[in-house]
Amino acid sequence: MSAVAATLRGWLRVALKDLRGDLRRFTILLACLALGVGTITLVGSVGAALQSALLRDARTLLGGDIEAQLSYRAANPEERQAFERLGKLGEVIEVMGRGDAGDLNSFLAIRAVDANYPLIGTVTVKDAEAPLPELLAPRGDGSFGLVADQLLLDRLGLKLGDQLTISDASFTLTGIIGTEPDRITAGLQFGLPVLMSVEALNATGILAPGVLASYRYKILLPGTDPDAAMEAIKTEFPKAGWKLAGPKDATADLARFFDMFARFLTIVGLSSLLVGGLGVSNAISAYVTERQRSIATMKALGATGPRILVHFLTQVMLLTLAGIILGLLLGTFLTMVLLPILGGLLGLGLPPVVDPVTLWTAAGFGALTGFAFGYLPLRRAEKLKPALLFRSAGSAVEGGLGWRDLLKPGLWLPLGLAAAGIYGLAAFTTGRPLLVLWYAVGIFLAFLILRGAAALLQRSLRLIPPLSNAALRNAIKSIWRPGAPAPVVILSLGLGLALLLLIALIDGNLRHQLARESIPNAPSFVFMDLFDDEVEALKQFSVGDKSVETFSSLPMVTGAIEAINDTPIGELNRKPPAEFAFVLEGEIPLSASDTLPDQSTITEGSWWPSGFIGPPEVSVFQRLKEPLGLKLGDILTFRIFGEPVKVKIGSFRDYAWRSGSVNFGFVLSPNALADYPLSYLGLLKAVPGAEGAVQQRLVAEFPDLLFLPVGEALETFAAILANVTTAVEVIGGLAVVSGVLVLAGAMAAGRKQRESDAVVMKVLGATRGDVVRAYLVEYGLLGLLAATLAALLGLAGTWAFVEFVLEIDFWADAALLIWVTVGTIVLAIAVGMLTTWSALSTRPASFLREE
Amino acid sequence: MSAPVVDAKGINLHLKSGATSLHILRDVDLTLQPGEVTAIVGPSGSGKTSLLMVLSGLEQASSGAITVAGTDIAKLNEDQLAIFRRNALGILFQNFHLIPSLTALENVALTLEIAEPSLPWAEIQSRAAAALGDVGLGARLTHLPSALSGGEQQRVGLARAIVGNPKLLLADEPTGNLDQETGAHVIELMFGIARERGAAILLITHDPSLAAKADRQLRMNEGHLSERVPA
Repeated sequence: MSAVAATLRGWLRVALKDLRGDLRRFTILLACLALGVGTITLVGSVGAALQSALLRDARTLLGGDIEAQLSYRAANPEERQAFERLGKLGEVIEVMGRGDAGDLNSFLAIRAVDANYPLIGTVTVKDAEAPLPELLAPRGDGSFGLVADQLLLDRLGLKLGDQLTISDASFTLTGIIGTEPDRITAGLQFGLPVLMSVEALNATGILAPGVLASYRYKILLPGTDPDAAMEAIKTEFPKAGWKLAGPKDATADLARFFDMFARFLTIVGLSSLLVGGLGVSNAISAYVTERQRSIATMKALGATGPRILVHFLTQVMLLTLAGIILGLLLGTFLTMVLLPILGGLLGLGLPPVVDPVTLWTAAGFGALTGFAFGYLPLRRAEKLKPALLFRSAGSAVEGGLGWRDLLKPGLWLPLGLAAAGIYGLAAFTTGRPLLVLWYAVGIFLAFLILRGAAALLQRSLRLIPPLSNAALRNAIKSIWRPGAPAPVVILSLGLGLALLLLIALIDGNLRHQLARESIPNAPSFVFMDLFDDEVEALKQFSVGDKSVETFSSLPMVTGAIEAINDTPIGELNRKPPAEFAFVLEGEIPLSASDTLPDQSTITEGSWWPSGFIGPPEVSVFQRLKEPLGLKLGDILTFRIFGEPVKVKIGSFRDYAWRSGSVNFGFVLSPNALADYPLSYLGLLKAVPGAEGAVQQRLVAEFPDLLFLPVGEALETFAAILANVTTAVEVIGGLAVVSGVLVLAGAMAAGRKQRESDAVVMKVLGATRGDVVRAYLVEYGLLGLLAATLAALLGLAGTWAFVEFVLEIDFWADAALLIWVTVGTIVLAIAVGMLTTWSALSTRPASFLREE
Repeated sequence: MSAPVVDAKGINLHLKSGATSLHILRDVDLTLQPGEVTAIVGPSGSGKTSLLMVLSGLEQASSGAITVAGTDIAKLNEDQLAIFRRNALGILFQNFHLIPSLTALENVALTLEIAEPSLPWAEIQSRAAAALGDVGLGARLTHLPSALSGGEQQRVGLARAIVGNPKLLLADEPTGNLDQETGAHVIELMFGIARERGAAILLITHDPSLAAKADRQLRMNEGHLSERVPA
């Protein structure tokens, strides 16, 4: 065995022996690392699972290799033949209906399927053995089979085998819907889901001309390229208006949502890592301070600086290893628990599998973090002068690093390598090097600001002449005296809190964005295609019914944008972002109004005067301006009832979406539509809780009127969102726990000093009250400064992230900011008091004997 | 006569305290011969401990020449000083400074592990145990410092100081934290072992009766070192 190996073994042996004893002092270090590594494992696995689910299931989610969709009409025989030539064809018709059973009724989201459904994947039906076509087949008594959502059975008080009627046909319940492979791509649905055969749907008579139905033709290609097949349909039927989608398009919306989710998770992961790192740094600092006499002793015995560094680095890396193992276990456990839950919420198969690559990267992150954040305090240990052994100094931190030390390659090189490693790993795992870079820049700036603020606070407090109030005087002095924990507390607390706020605020923004549809004042029911007399009748009904809060109506017509400034949209060289593409891809609802709609404000241009008779104008929703590249004065050509209608953009308008009124992307001056028959959109809001009763009365009074139970659908949607955001919050919550731990660690760093200060104060005759008051002021001040700075930093970071990364509207939750800020001050005081409690409760004599 | 273990000439030490500079050691000359036991007495703050720190390389003299065990320590950097200490010095502290997480044996072994890291653990162990046996603690090898009395802790400190066979043993008030009887016992042990091994001892003490047991007594007063004529 070589001498070097023997030497290294000897060093390792001493380091290991020296680690023995009370391991509780490493609790915070281990917990910080474990939480950081655990969060990254969880975040990585969730991201990977979502990605692979989309990749794996894209065809299944679409229900075929391509889908051709049309509203209002079914495919004609030529089209159907063309589809069948391409591959195996499956037809799904989606339409709204109403189910009646005795006095009870409920709105239904009907999916009528042919015998080939589903082309890919399987439909699971609960409480039934037979295959789906059999369950949907006509029964002997002239009724059809119906597979329905459990909720429908509950609401109508039915059980399997019972009957209900849907318009002109009667149905027998044959099963309960479990999962449908392509449900997630069906979009927002009004009513409770039911599955029936196409034949049965035809028998109901719902599919009258003009009824809004979605006809989806799913085609399973025999190995042909989906793009080529879609191109073939486009070429053969250029004017039919088929909306075509391949697997990628089908999951595009989901992918965008998941991507937003993943970016957020990236920030959560990086933040928890960083917060964990701060915890590691504080814990090692505290450890080094605690061990400074042992370090000095070793040096007095002849240990060189590098020897000391290796000794403690070995210990830190061993602890890091333990933290990593704990973190991987924690992350694996959470992943196994959360993935199936998340999958259930999203209607995606997310098996409880931990991504192996994620495990390795999480371990890598942990090791690099442990090293990077432990290294600086260890260099301090290396610099410690053994001369302190001859002095009976207190437990104040000795041997601080000066800025000159930072210039030495021995110091910045390992740190730089570790930082580069962390950056590289983060860029690799997230696939977003720029995002990670900006994040790092933000953190660095935050670090400088907090450090600078701490120094400024110390300097300015030093200038204050001694106050007459002793508690205040002592508190102020203990913030600026040499070796005071103030800079560490402000940095840890400030950075930790800023990161927490970042996560909480981004979460709030995401939720805010996702929940746009769940408007507090949303109408309970929306009526489509009302005629004048029906609007009048509904007004009368609303006035007479105390359960109705409001009823309003708006003129509505559908039309497609054909050209912008006379350039057909097919020839435009700009393409709107995917989420706005629908505006140019088919018919959209348009409205007309003499006056500016409620809750709207003009942002540019001006609204036309009442009774306007000039060249027709249009007012465009502000949010559409940029994506479509529009400006004032542009001429839009709409195709309405088959005729082109040219209008000039007279204004852009914004709209308070929380108000609950309906917003149209395009509102035309009434003279533009004077020659066309207008129908109306009716909005009825019921008194909360009375929706069911109002629905039953509406059905009784207007049996032929079809209306959408929007409130109910939005509630269901909002509930799903709430579940998803809860899952997000659980992950974000891990970072919060790290933050609190880090704070505790930061406080613990100065504990010894505070303990001996408190003892001395007590020996000198201070009561516990005096000591408590001094700490109250000290930590209150530190907490206030840290929280204020953190709030500003968190806001700035969130704004940048939301604006540039998520590209959604920034929204700051004032209540959250205030609560978190106040909470931090309280927490700072509480943790400060808690870590000092031992000093307050020990008798001075026993402490002094130990010294 | 063999070469002196310590040969220091014209040592001055200035320490900065805020804006003022304190002149701690003033033109101190000191020579220690192998096997010679020298005691320094003097009031607190007179510069005794500072002299010890300068001789051990823990504090750098402002001027003067110091050779310890043949090494000119003024020319050494921090790490070379550490190596010099492990090879030539043994230090005994007033507050013992044992590492609380290590047993008596491990505390003593640490000196060897630092000095000769490639030594097999078995040999380190037996040498450390022998040193503890020399100070009468052969039966307390596995005790942690917290389980030892003050006198026992200082004896562990002594074993740690001598296990590497130093040429110079520096002792800073080694009995300051011990009662008179225990202190006397430790001093006897120390002197006996040093004389037996031919190591020079520099002892700092407040106790005239301890100083009287030394071969030579020096007095430190306001940074000046002078011979002390025993009363």
